[in-house]
Amino acid sequence: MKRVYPIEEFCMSCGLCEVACATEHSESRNIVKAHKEEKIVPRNSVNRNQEEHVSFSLNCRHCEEPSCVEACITGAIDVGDDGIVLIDTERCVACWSCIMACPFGVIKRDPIRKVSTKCDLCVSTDREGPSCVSACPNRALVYEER
Amino acid sequence: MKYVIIGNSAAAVGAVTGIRKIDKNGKIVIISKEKYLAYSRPSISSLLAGKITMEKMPYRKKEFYDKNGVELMLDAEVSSIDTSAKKLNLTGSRKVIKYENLLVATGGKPFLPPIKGLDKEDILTFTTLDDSLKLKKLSEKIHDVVIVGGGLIGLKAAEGLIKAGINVTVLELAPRVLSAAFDNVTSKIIQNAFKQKGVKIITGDTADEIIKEDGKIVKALLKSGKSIKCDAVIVAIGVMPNTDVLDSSNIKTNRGILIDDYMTTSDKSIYAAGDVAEGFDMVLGKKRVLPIWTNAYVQGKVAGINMAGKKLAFTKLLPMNSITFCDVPIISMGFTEAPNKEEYKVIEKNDIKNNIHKRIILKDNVLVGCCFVTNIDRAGIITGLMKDSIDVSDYIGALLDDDFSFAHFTKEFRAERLKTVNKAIV
Ligand SMILES: Cc1cc2nc3c(=O)[nH]c(=O)nc-3n(C[C@H](O)[C@H](O)[C@H](O)COP(=O)(O)OP(=O)(O)OC[C@H]3O[C@@H](n4cnc5c(N)ncnc54)[C@H](O)[C@@H]3O)c2cc1C
Repeated sequence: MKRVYPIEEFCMSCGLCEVACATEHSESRNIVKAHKEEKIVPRNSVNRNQEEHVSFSLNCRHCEEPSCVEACITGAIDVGDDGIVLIDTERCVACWSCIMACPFGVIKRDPIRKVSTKCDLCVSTDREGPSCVSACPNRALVYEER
Repeated sequence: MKYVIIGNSAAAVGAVTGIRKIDKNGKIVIISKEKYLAYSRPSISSLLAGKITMEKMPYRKKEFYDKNGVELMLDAEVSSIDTSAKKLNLTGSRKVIKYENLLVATGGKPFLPPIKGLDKEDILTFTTLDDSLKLKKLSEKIHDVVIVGGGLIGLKAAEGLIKAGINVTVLELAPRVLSAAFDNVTSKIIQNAFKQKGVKIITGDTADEIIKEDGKIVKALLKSGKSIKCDAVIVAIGVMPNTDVLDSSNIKTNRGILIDDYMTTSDKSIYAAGDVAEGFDMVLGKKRVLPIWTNAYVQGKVAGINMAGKKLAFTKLLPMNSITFCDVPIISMGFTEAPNKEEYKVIEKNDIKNNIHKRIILKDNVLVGCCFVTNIDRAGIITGLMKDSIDVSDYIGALLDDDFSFAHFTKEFRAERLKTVNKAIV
């Protein structure tokens, strides 16, 4: 299955991957509105260690045996036949059990909508391939089979 | 029947998933006392509070059972197991169910010590969907409720009831609420949060006698001599393993059913998982009942895989809780208080005024426990390091930072973890 992989040597810590993600998952599809009005939480995060100058973008790993699925108390998280792990936000009750369980720390709280949120590889939008990968100006993210 | 499962909750659903990873066709039968499809037991408080509706309760929909070829016998109770003939007897029915592999996933039942003056029919509990519906209906008539027990379930009930506009008093015999699953700082913060919502929490005290007038509950007399006005009493002291079906069998039990790393009981064709079983707690280093959802699901899944003939051990059992009370999210894992000062190191970061608390507990530079309040993001990284008993000396100073992430690992460790964590288990 194709997943998004970071190449940390190329990451400049600019955060455009987060901007692209938030915009892609907004109603307006407008960079500024997504951020300021809809207050969309990007589903990926640039992990930074300022002291060591380490940075790379990380999103859901779409595990084969996801801890978040095991921990979800409502059945809102499931692995699809295509291997993509998705959260049904209609059924999420914001207990944050998935946040407690994810060993990568890639599930986030959406404080506005009061649900957990994470990368869906852009399958909920109508684009081909993840928006973060296309947005990265230095090719520090790749979408491939490994 | 190839596979029979008693109970239809987290452990049972995990088991179906586990069985079907190995055996796509073997017949599965689920027998459940409750009349519902598997539902989110923890969400019965959200239902009571009116935060969610009945449609949102199912944990798995009908399609799950259909897709996996599960025959569901709902509203049916197993009365006993005949282990030599490998068959089950049902209450009020002559039907017997034969099994090749049996999973006991009967969960927990409320612990109900006698309280003077409290008749059996007056006892309210809070562990099932029906309990929640009953309480919801009752909440239109009652005004003052006493909850005996300030653990997770008691406080969940309290939160549900205040949303319904009821005066709630929680009685906790221990010096603080949530003492089984959280540390003293978290308890203090949560106690305070409840106080601000108008809930009265009395610690170090409990109900001694319930007084009725004209057949109706009017007040509770406490050990201390205090008297609390109330018209209903909820008993939420705790749950205990529901081992009733084993009463006439010779399967080994302690508090719960004893299981090995493969979820097998002392009878090789009988497995147990979830709140009814005693698994091996990896940080405590001994067997215990761990009544949490994740544990039930994972033990069920591993039981299912083994029932279907593939040997798979599960040894990373950790107590862990993630829950929100009065809008304050809290998470804990492993130890919440250090067992002793010599071997264990406690590191904290607090801003109690703003409900912020972070605590980790280490032994020989390996994480063995933590508590997070409010700032709970990325807590799962800590869980992962704890489960895999990783030596964290290289980044120990960053563990409590809000931006702690994989960026703080060494490059080699990061690469290895990104590659190997959470690959398929079978
Ligand atoms: C109010 C509340 C809140 C909770 N909140 C959380 C939380 O936030 N996080 C968390 O991790 N955990 C929480 N828990 C605990 C969690 O719900 C349990 O750990 C989990 O439900 C255990 O699942 P199980 O499959 O072992 O058994 P159970 O869910 O207890 O289900 C067992 C089923 O077996 C049935 N059964 C029993 N005997 C028989 C029989 N003889 N014949 C047929 N059927 C039978 C029972 O009727 C029941 O339906 C909460 C529990 C409660 C009550």
